[in-house]
Amino acid sequence: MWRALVLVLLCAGCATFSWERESRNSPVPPEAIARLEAGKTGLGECLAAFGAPLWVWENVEHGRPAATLAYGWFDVRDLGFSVSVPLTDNYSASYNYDRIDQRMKGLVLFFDEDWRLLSWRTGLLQDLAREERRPPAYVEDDA
Amino acid sequence: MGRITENEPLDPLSLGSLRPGVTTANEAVQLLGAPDDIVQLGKRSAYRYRYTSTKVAGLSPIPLILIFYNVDSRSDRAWLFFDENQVLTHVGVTLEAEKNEYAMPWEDVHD
Repeated sequence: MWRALVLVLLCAGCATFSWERESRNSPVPPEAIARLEAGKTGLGECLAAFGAPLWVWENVEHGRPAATLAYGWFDVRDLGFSVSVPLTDNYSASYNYDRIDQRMKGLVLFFDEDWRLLSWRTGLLQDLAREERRPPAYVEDDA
Repeated sequence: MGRITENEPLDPLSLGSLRPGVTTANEAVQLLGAPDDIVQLGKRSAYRYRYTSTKVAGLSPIPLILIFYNVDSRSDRAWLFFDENQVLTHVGVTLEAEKNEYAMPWEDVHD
């Protein structure tokens, strides 16, 4: 019975075995993360060690304007078996760069207003961003 | 196989001519063109320049039943940080868009 069903699905082109891999950006070197020192490392050293981040966000540290730099990457392999009945066929090859993919791992660096590193975190970038993106600080205009 | 690109490749020579403490935001825009994004950081600002290249490779030895599929995406990125006087303070550059490869999912092209 099951063999017959699988055969029917295969013949109908509705069953698919797939091996997929998707890789975006290079991971940051762990040895460079190990060299970070809170309160000492500056923005220039971080940019030299990790290159350009994917995103820069404004945030607030102790009521003062501060900044967060986010690096992200992923390399995902999927083995899949799917049974589907195609009703519509929509595929978009474009990638929204400003949307954080839920699979993306990341490093987030927090700087004070003098560009001194305050702290850093690693993990899934979407979770880090959700926790750390806060409203921008209000800055009084001198004029 | 297919290739998708977004924006124009970044020019390493132009990026190399940026001088922290000297180059202004105006001069940077004249040199590099309009940034892809601008982030306000209090009174300071950061400009992003970005070029992304994605290479997609697929193989189906048994059409529609067995599929091997690989996507490899890398980007050139530059972030320019300006102080409140719109003078460049820091530059961060990553140039790896041309390091992406057409590959199969079992190949480790970046190892």
